Amino acid sequence: MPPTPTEAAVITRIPDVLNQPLGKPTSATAAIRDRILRKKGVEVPVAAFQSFI
Amino acid sequence: MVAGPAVLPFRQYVLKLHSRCDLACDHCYIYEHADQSWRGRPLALSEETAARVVDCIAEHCAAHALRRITIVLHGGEPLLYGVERTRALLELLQARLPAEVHPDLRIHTNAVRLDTAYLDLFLEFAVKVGVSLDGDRAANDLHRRFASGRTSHPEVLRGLALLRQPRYRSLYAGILCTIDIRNDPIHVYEALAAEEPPRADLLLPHATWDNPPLRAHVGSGDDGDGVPEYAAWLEAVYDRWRRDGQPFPIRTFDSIAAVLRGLPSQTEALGLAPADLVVIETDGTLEQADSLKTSYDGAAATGFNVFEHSLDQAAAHSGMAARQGGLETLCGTCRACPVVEVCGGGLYAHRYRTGTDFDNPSVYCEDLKALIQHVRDDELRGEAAAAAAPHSLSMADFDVLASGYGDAEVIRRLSEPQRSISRALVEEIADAAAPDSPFADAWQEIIRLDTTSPAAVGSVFDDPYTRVWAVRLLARETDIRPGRADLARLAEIAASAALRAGDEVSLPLHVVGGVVHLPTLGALALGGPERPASIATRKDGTATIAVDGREYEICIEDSASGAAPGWLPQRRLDAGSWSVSVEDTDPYRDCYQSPAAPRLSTADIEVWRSRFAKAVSYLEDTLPEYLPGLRAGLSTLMPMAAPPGGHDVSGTARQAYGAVGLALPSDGPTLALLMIHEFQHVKLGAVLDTCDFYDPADDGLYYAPWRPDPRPLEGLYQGTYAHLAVTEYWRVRRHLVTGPRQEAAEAHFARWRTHTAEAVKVLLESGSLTPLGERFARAMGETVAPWLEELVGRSAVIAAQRAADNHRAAWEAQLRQPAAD
Repeated sequence: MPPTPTEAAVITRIPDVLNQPLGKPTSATAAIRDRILRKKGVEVPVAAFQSFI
Repeated sequence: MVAGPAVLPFRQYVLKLHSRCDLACDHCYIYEHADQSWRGRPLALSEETAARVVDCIAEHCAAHALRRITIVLHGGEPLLYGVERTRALLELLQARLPAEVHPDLRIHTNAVRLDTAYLDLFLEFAVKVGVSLDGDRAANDLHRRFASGRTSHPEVLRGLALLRQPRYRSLYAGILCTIDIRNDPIHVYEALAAEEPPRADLLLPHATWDNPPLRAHVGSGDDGDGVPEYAAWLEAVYDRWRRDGQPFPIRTFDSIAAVLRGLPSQTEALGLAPADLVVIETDGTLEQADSLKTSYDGAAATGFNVFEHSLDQAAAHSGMAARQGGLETLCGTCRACPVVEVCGGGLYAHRYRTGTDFDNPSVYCEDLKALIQHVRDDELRGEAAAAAAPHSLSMADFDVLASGYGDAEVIRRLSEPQRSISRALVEEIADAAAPDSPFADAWQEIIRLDTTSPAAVGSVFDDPYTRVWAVRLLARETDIRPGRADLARLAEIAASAALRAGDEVSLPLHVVGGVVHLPTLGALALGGPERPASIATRKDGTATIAVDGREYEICIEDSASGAAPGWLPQRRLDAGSWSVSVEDTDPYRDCYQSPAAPRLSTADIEVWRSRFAKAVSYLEDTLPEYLPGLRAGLSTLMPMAAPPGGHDVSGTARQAYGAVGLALPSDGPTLALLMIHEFQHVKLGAVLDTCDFYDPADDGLYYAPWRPDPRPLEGLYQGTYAHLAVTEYWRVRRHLVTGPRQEAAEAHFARWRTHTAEAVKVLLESGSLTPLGERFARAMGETVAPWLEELVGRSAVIAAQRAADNHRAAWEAQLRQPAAD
């Protein structure tokens, strides 16, 4: 089994659009916009007691 | 290594309202498994016990400055407690918890007794409701029946239907489903989906090595195809759920995917996060997680209760500590396993075996491994198929950055996502601009130049203040369409890229802030109001700017000989192989807390050059490990106006990657200090763009040892990270100077090392960090820890400690003051 990504690298929240042609905005550019404008962040839920949701 | 808190405070409180249940589910861990302590408990939480419980929680919150906690009303069946007693308890919580504590109130019920009286009460106190349902009628009837054997399914569905009503929908927390591999996984999934839960989880039935789970294929434990049976069951649901577009979150699946990305698990059943939960029984007894009751009689007990003990005592109990040590507390098999970070050894209770206690893998180990592999394979396939895979940051780079450093290669890799960010933001602006925008042609030129001269376009996109402009424009909360001045930068980028590429373009421009600015090249100073202009670039790197009927010649050569008098070329400071731009014309540069200086005179720029060279020379001699990273990542210095009084000012803007603003200090070593200090902010900002260190929902403010006011978590991270470099500067500086300057350097070193270490501790105790955030904080702590052991003059140590103690005391006194109305 290969190592988990967390052991080798952080998969960041920034899509690599450096080789995407300009003029064709994609979900990736929108995701970057939302990320940088802080419209979407990660909630950090506690590792919750599994007997409630 | 900086130690964590003495005890990890409890942030989750499971409060048993009633110790009996109106159902007789045969898979219930409370009544049907090894532990039988329920038999000796009072039926319900008394008024006296409830008051003591609430006071204990309030005291614990105050002692640990907890702001966000979760209180789960549980049982038995908590609705047996009755509406009036539940109201009294909720009023008690409201009245006695400190004002700054915001409890997330939840109840978990079988929903049989859920009615509008309860739901109105829950609406009043914002109590979210979770419901147990094992699937369709057949699946639910397998275990979840009344003692008489009668099905509970119709009554549960009636309760769920109430929760889905618009009036109560906001209270609906989700569904917990305990799986049974005899049930059809797709039927179970469809039954859950039909209830439109905002969230669900699929729980492995409680089992241990002594009482292993039901498996159809005894011995192999797999489904005949080599996949362990519980994994096969869950994979069937996962695949269907993914095909359906994940119509609702499923906690187990989401947790696996999250941990694979370095984000936290959402359940104690997965991941390595420390346990921070206490169960409070109806008699006030303090216990560990209920699931332990499946292991052996008394397994969850601590011997403590709310009348005779504090929650701190319970938090220090060895059983609690055993579930807070992460990887180090797992058995050897788990520690050697490649998926241990994801499964975290599985639910603690599921590891139990007589003789070795909990020092075993989960009894579901093979199922968890297979499921994790299945999810990982699916995630990797999804990434490969996506329009753009995310940038990755190696853990080696992450750890180097977290320790406070980063060589040229690390910083270059850190800069890659920044280039994607600038490119994407410009693209989003161009896409949002109307096609009839006067700058639509400019965008088409950028697209063309990006194919013919990508390096030229890339270098203009990399200008730090292009992102400042882009974010300012995209963040506008108005329906008014952006005007010419707002969008002119698109044309400025096109013109700059064309000049850099030696290309010919003719485009409209706009005078903004009295200048026509060309990013990375300079500006033509014109003065006056905003008004149209135009530019025609030529292949030889020259251009004509036309405005007000006049023409101005410009060129991209630094010397700018032959250029119009108003052309202000961007200048550079050079020291060896390092060259930085001086940005003193960009209208978007004034984005710091201190104002930008006007254009530097020729004499001023020479003074900057001389001092920059001295600063670089100082760094080469004294802190050489900082230079490669600075050379690779600090591209721009933005002169700030010198403040009255002559003190040093410097700053970093969150959106201006690669740039540092500062007023020129009086000597090279101080300039070196300001640059390494601010570049720490630049680096950390870039890391925070790419990964999450803390819960953004945590709007709390935390003690910052160097400031009179408390700081949000990002501010605390930024200050701590910057002060790592500041501490090291003074650590080295104290050996290079003598007399009063040496004493001052010693005092600075003693002060900053103490402050930095204390801030790391505050971060680690915040309870809001992701695993990556915790890893970063711990690495900062590991850098500063050996410095705390270094010998420093006695007077410096005493002064630093006294200052730290006084600052802390003032802060605590402030906390004790009643809040003003």
